[in-house]
Amino acid sequence: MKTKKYFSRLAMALGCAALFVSAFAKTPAEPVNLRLEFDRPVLPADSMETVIVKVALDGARLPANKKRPPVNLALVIDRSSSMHGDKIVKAREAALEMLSRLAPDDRLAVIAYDTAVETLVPAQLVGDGREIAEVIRSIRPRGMTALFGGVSQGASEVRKALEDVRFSHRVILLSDGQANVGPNSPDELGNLGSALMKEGISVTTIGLGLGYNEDLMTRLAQRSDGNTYFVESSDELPQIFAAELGDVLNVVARRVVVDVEFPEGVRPLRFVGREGRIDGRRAHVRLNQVYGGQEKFALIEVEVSSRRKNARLPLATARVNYEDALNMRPVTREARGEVRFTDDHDAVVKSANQRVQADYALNRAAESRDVAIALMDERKPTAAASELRARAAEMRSVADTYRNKQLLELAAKQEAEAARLEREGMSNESRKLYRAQNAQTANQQSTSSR
Amino acid sequence: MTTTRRIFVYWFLLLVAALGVGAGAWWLLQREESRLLVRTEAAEAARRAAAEARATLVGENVELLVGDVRSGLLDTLTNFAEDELAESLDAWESSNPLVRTAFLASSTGSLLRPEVNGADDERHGFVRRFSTLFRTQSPWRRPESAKSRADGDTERASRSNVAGIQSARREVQVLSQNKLYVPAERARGSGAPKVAYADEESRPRAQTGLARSGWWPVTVDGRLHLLGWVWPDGTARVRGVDVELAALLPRLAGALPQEAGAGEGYVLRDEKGRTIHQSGIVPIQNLDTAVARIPIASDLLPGWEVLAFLEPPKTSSSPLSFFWLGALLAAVLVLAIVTSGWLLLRQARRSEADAVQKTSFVANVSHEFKTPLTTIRLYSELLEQGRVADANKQSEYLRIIGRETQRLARLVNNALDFSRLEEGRKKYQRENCDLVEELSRLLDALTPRLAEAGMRLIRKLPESPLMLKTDRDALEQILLNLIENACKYAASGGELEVSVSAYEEGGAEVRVGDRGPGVPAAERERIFEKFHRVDESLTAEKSGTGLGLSIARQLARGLGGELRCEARPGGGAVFVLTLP
Repeated sequence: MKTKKYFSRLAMALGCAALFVSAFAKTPAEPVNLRLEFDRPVLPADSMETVIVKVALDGARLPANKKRPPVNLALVIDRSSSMHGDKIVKAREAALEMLSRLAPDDRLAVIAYDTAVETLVPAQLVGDGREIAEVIRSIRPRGMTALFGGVSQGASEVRKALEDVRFSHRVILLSDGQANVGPNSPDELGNLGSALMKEGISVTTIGLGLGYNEDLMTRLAQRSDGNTYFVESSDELPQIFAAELGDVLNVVARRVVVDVEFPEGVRPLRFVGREGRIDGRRAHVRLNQVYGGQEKFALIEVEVSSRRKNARLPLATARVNYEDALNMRPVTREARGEVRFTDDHDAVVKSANQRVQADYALNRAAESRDVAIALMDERKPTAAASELRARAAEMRSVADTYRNKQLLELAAKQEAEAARLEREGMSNESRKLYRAQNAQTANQQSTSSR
Repeated sequence: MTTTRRIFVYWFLLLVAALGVGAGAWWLLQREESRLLVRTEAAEAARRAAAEARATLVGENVELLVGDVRSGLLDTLTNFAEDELAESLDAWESSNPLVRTAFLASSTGSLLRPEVNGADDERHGFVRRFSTLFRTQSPWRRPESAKSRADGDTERASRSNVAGIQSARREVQVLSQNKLYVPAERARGSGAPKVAYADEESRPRAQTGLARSGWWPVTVDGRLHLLGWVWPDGTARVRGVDVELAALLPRLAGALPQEAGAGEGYVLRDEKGRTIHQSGIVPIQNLDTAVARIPIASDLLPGWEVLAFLEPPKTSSSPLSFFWLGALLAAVLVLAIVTSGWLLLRQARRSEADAVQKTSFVANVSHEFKTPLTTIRLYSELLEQGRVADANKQSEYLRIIGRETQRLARLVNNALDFSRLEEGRKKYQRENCDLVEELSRLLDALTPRLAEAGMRLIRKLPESPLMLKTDRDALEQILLNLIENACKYAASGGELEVSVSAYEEGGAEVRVGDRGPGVPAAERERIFEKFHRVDESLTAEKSGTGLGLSIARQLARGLGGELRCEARPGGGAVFVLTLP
């Protein structure tokens, strides 16, 4: 375990150095690099085409010599009676482990909820953490599940330092049960997520065991741009907390707003995966943060009207506004992308960006799995399987045309899942796994529990 | 007898006093109980009233908070410049957490914004929910929907309020008036430069024109939506906002007391009866036990209510148990007095009986002493005066004097033995001796006495010796007492039978039987009690101390044997002495 960690750190350091050098070669250290990519930079002439636009944000690794920005965390722990036994023990362990990795100038609040919500530790600087550790050790399970209240209280503790620009703000929610006190529908919790997102607070949700409501938990996380995890055994908790904290400690940019403008003759159709908004020929995406060393992106399907051969079209202009988390200054960057039209089929195939195709396919697969879940909820396994198969067939045809091996693999996997769905139906466990994975795909979450 | 009566009177007085105390205590307790009950009821009523007042305050706080949100959002809407309205609304919608959707509508109620072009679920949902509703029932189409009432009924300024709600209000005021969510600190930019998307151009501008505005809570698809709308004069479009309830709800927590009083609980419930916030002690299951239900103003949050709960008073301090505890204590006290009085009475009666017995004992003993003394004096005087010339007579007189002296000595011995036995100081000197020989010797010595009493002695003694380990003197004393007893009370029978038989397992039995009047069955045990005489008439005829049998039995027991009285077949009594 130790050596593995050591190697991974070494690799990280090497990667970091490489990135650092390359970053230096072009531009001075930018926390976020904006890229604009298309699935096919060369399009067939004289036909209406659908292009996938990928707006990617690469978070730079934090320079080793620079102190990381402090974090403002609220840990919201479900202590309803269902957490009895090993679950609460492991949850306490995980929380203590997380506490030990925080620096004295980080802020932490601990909220526990059962039937009512109790702020065990009001938001405060961590310091030596001894008092907080005492409180965490004393958490005992009882009562019901006031999830909405717990998250609200967590957010209100985080809000105390919301105006301090140094902090990255985050609520970490651990629950193993159905919310049964207060607002409890996925919609309402999703709306709470959206509202918190506007304030710059993300909610990370950790669903423990097989009893929690995955729709609610993933919706809350996705709408607030937080991570989501499905942890089947409480043994995995400490490592999930560590991964989550790794992300939070690694925030390089905050309040990221991406605007994409399209020229006349290009019509944005919809976002795939990460949610965004389309107004006429403009598209907007908001992210609460970008983590160092990770790529976050949004995929937009656009319709391009037919052009003559050899015509060139500036397909999109992307602009990103964000707050540099290290230097606490606003940054604006721009990127442009252009497509060329040709009647040479080979040139089109050759130009294809297989990476973008694969990203698109992954997110489409996630969408289809969400549809499949909805169909399974209506007890229509055949329809669910055929939905998955239809997406697989699409992938296969694109894979054949562009000789994309990754897509072939994806299609095969999707078909296998369709077959399994027909054979075995969808278990509670796989439903949770699907939901979590779908959210993780849309969010490009770096760590998953499986 | 008078003493007994006196003691009884004293006891009776004690009883009366004790019962009086008991009755008094009962009465006081009852009075105290009813007073406690009244006081508890009053306290309970006060608690209820206080809880109700606090619930009302919570309700007013909620109304204030929602009122603040309403006026803040409507002010912001009013102040947007007409020419850059689209951009302002976009930015507002995407940055203010309280704003779910900002909309524009025509005066006739057709929806102008948001448009339905992209695949934006949120906007689709809004249009689906409200486009028809706006066309049919939008409040701004009614001319009588008068001027903004925002400042009228919710800004009840004179209300006293607590710090918690003040800060919650400040927060929602700042939030709802912010067109763009830029925290104040950041905007001032101490050290940190201003963030680029804080839009300087669209600072609130004072609008001179008056505006019609309203707050429209409406339930669509079973869910409550709070819509606020403004129609500035001189403009064509109605501006509105769909408030994000998920963002508003957490902030309503500030309306509830942070720390509810002991045993109190408050719940804020939405129109579906779901608990949104609670503080203090609230029953988990049964929410119907609320002591107060305060509805929230229906123009702000229709169907919402604040419930107040009180913990039922603890049973341990109930007046009933106080009463019974007090009554129990008083009863114990009275019982203790009466019982101890009765015990004292019994003790006094027993002491009195003892005293009577002792008096009669002294009288009897004195009497017993007197007879031999008189005899001795008479004969000694006769001899002294020298009137008796006959030598035979002289020696007979001397023998009489000697016999009477022995009798005196026996009496004294009995009295001494009695006191020794009473004090438990009697010591036995056990040695081996032959019971038959001892008996023979004793009977030989007593033969003259028996003959004198007119009784024939029948010996039924075994031939062979019967060896026992016993105290010779004690044995002699027992038999002497038995025989003396027989001479005294059974001389009329004219016969005394003494028999001895050995037990196979060791030990022996001596039976002394007479043909006298016998002992009634009821008296057979009592005759062994000290100072006891079978009947008064007998006492009158025959003097005696009443100690002989008592001493004999105590000695027999001291030797490890027993002495009992039985009826003798053919009349008379038989005393059976068993020896180990």
